[in-house]
Amino acid sequence: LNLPGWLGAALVYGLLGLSVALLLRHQGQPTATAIGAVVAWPLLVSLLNPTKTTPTAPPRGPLADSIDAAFARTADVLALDLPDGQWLADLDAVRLSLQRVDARLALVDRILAEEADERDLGRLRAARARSADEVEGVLSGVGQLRVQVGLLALSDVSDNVPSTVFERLSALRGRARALEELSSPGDGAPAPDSAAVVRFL
Amino acid sequence: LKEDPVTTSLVSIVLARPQELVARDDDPAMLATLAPPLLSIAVGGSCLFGLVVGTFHGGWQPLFAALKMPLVLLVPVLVTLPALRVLHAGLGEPVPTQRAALAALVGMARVAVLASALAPLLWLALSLGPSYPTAFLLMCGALVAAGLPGLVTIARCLAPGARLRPLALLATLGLVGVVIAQSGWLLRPFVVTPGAPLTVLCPVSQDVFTGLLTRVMPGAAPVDAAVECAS
Repeated sequence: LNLPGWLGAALVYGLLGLSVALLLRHQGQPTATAIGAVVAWPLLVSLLNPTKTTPTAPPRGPLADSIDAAFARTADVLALDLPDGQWLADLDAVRLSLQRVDARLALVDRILAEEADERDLGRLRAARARSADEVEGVLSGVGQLRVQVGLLALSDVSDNVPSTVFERLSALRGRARALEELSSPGDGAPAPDSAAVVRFL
Repeated sequence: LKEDPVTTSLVSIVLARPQELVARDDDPAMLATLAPPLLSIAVGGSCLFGLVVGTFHGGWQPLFAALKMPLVLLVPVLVTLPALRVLHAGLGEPVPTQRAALAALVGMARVAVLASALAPLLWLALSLGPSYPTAFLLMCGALVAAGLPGLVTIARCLAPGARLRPLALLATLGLVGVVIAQSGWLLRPFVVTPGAPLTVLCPVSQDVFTGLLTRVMPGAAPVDAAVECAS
């Protein structure tokens, strides 16, 4: 083959892009993402082996102390070393969700302090109160979970965490996620494929 | 045409608060979700800009320029991103792969949106029949005006900490800016004198600085026949 240099380079680039795209599709990534990888595979090649980075804690908000205290109390539960360690990761996810909501509450508090027009702030104030109540509710649930796991430690079922713990934890995680993803009062349900983007709005 | 709410929202965020898009780099699904629309915006916007630049000559040149302009945007970022990551790692603030990819995509999309916003103005100016040097300068000016905010976005997203910001800004503007200039030089012609014969690509010759020096100061550097290809 007597190809010009740039055409050879483009061909190699395209073939590599096609390979990355096929692998991404094979891993279940959306078709649009795979097509994008043909064009810009150096940017998307990391999706082939996504590394789960440790999420950084969001800025502290008005309920940060309550969240810290509730999860500090669960430290003794974490020390029980029960099997099925996934539930510990779930508990950590609940904490992160609550911290993110708390960070948003701090932002809302700043807006409430800086804006003067009470007509516009009424809905925001009500939404803030609802979110804060919901955070308190989830924290209360975390406390109940701690008691439940503590009781398990005293019983003979410690070799297998019963499903009730998972159910309660799953409900807590669902509430925390829903609270986190709530963008603004009155918003319609986002389309499934755009949910990730709409979270920014 | 039905408006796509996700793309419309993305364009607003890319223009108003691009750093928010990079802030969720800990979620691998975010890159997979955002990459296709951001790439579409980048390619679509730069195609439109290329199309307008090509109208100065007419004929097939708008098509050639529209096809090549996305490469002027994409290639330099892909080439320089690893170097920028190494630079940040050397300064003690390594940039995760996904953050770097998101920063590059958001930066490119921002340049493309701004370039497409400038396209009607450029079209108007080119339709008034300026001379070749004026048309060339107009294109360069529009590219700089659209490119600077995008490069600043990439720099800020790569180095969110305030400590490294000035250095990251200088490194990004310097490195990516030079590579964009040379890429544009290698992919020329974009602005072609009306009536001149068309070529898709000029032969590889010299570098952007020597080429421009030859044009601005005749006799300052040896003239290469291929330099004349652009006019």
